[in-house]
Amino acid sequence: MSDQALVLAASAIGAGLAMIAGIGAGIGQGFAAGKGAEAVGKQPEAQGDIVRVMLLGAAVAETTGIYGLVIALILLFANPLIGLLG
Amino acid sequence: MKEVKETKILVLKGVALLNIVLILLMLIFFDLRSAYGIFIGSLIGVINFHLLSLSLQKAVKLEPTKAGFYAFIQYIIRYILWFLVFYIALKRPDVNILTTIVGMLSVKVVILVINVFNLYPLKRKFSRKEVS
Repeated sequence: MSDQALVLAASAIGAGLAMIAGIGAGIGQGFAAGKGAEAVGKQPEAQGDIVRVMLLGAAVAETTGIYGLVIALILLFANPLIGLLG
Repeated sequence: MKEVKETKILVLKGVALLNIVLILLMLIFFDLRSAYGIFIGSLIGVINFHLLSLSLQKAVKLEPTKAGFYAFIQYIIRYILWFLVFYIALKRPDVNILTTIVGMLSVKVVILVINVFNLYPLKRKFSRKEVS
């Protein structure tokens, strides 16, 4: 197996592992939305405040999933490790 | 939901201000490619933030299990949108991928700055209601 093939194979595995980050953020956001729905059910008059806090939290939490996506895309389509082989 | 609308407008103003400064800096010190990346990243960031607010406003009206599933599906849709944006930014020679990521992060930076320094308008700062 050539060095380049080895790097490409390892990069593909790395990209797959990086995508796991996206699942975590999605599950977390779904869990938060469920709890938010429960909170609105208990206290309907506070719906605006509940959604506002949830919106800000979800927007920031989503970033970690997107980091994983960026790493995976760079490993697959603009791999910097190939250039290091010489 | 007045609170959500106010927050969205505040974040939008902050993102616009931050990105105008960033685009000017990119045009002065770097090239048009970097400025274009900032513009695309922040534009899609704002669109995603709007989509997130719409999906959460709908999710809280559903029953909890359905709300969780609905929020997850909406997240996957937004994730696919990000995938398309970053893929295009990687493939096109006239968009810089690194500044696209910076543009995307500008929405999160504005949210963090607003909350850390409590930059809400005065009427919202003291909105805590004590139980009598």
